[in-house]
Amino acid sequence: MKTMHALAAVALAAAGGVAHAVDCDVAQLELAQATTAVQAAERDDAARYAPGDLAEARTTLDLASRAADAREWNDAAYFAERAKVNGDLASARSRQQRAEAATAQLQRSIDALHADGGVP
Amino acid sequence: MNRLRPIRPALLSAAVAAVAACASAPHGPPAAIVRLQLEQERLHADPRIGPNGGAELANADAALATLSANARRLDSREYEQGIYLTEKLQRVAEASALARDAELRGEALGRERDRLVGAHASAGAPRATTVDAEFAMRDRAPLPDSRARLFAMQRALVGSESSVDERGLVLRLASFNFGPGDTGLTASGERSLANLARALEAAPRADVSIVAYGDRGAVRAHAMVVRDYLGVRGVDPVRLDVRDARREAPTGGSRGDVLVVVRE
Repeated sequence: MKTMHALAAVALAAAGGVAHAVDCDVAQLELAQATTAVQAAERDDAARYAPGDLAEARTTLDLASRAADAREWNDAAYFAERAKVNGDLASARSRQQRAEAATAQLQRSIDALHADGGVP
Repeated sequence: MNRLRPIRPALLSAAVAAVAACASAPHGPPAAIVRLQLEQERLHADPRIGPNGGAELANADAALATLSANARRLDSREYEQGIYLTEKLQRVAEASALARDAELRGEALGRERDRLVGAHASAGAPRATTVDAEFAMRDRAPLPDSRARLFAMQRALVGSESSVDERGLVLRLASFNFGPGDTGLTASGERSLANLARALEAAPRADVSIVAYGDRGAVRAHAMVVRDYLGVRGVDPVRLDVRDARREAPTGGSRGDVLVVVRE
């Protein structure tokens, strides 16, 4: 669901509308959604499992915030779209890493049971 | 004809230039889009990603199709943004699909482990009969009816590492399930316990033991996080019991694990 907005952003950009259509409200909405995505990534422990993606998300969110402060709404929306998709990516990578770690742990557990009891 | 002779070299040059221009003008999609298309094909062809791609892969498909159709109408900044976002959507799709693939394999491995633990128990293997002997539960393994209810509860713990054995329904929380969030849990840890809390609503007779393995300080603190979270989610504190394991790690687990054991 998170990626739907980024997809809409791509569609909007592809339609050639970004440069002229972004106003304060749109940019603020983009910024709010990007902030939510980055916060979700932080809650998903992305600092541990996807630090590079989380860092990129934070950097682009910071650029978006600065642009919004300067009332550069096109730039604010531009960087907010990037921050949001990077936040989504950090969350997805974090989920992947956790799932793979849990699976590896289970595999070790099964290997130990095989070794312990000779169960086929 | 003779009048053309002085300008013939110029005409020839112009003709050559026109032909060259036609030959070099890109008729196909730009290289960056070709690269994204190839990558999208790879994602679909990968047996771990294609079948598990879900909405994320569909989003990347749609973004790429939109970008491809409009690439030549975009200014350079819009085009660059479209490439950037589409590439990131592909990475989101890949990571999400690989996570689902790992979760599915985890579920299969969990069933395999349950089968092995059961085989150990029926063979009288010492390891199986002493699994978490500190719970003193060996002599009161769940009765068949209770076991069926525990299996029903386990089905609610989607995406969590859990099993049903002689101890009861066992939910394992590793150190990576505890984190810096408001609840002291990561999103995955919170999801696991939220699902457990919901399942416990339908099992009012079930008690919960929260057992900490390893370092008494940190792991005990994690066990208290679990107790507090379940309490906030409406589980009666009387049903919750926190204890330290005598062993450093549970069978098949790790030092630092917290096991949440549900029994009737």
